[in-house]
Amino acid sequence: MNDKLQALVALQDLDLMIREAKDPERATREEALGFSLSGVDKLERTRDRLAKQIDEQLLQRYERMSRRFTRVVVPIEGRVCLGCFMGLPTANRRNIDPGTVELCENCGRILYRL
Amino acid sequence: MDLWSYGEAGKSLAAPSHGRSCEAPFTQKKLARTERFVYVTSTGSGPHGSNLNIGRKEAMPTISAAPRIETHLELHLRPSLFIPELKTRKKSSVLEEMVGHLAQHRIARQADAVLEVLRQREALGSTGLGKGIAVPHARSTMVTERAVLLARSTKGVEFDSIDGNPVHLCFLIVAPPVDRDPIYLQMLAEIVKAVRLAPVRKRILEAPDFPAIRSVIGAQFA
Repeated sequence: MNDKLQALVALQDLDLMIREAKDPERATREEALGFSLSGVDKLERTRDRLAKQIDEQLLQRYERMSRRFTRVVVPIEGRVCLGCFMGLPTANRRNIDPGTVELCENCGRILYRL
Repeated sequence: MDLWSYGEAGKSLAAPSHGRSCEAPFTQKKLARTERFVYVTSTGSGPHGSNLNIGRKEAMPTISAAPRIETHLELHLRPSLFIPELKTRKKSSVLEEMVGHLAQHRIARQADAVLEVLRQREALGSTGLGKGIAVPHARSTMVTERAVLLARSTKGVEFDSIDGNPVHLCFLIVAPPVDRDPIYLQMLAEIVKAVRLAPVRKRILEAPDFPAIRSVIGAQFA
């Protein structure tokens, strides 16, 4: 997995954590069990720092897609995008430049290989 | 005759809902344990006659006869995901050790990414619940399946717990980021319930092996 993808994966995981910490129902349940969720601000600052490290165009794509999908960065398994479960053309695999990010032709999600 | 039966009618297996969603393996397991159980809800007599034979004890099963359904926590506890004694005593290195164990069992695809998510979760608020218990948990894109790893430390781990005491039992929960996962939160609640009593925590710490720990935890839900 290249650096761009690693940063995107980290961003996606962080976004999910922030979203869950801000969800009132979920936060209430976790706090009732004794877990502290007081550091949301800290996570948001980390998120901003991480976002600055990501290529602007890629980040824009991620932000745009995250309004539509819960998971924007998804794996490919057996040439199938695990976001939309559509098959990808076999020709794609041969032309992948290790430094680029692969996109699903059907749903537009950002893909990584398992 | 209106009946649902575990024995033959596969389509009616979901009828006795226990109020939570089940995944396929869990359902299969439940069925295997309860397939002899037949429950008749009507008094009508069909072509084969009713098995509601008033006066015979076996006609209607009692609640005590039904086998106990295992909790999600019990189903997720595995001997392979058990560290009898942690080597390290600091929070960050303990998380590293546990994630390394997950990576060995191919639950964490990229240990670094999973470790980073767990560290961020600790930044959100410590998962050291006090009384020697910590439940670090996070969802990561780099996790292949929902898993619980149990680790013990007789010496104790500095975990920034709310009571400031060292942690002796550490339940690590990881899961992939799916849209809705009620089981994840349920497992958190089950862990808290299972270890709320001091004698139970002591028995888990002193248990000689994993099956003994599992039976101690299972007894809390019996």
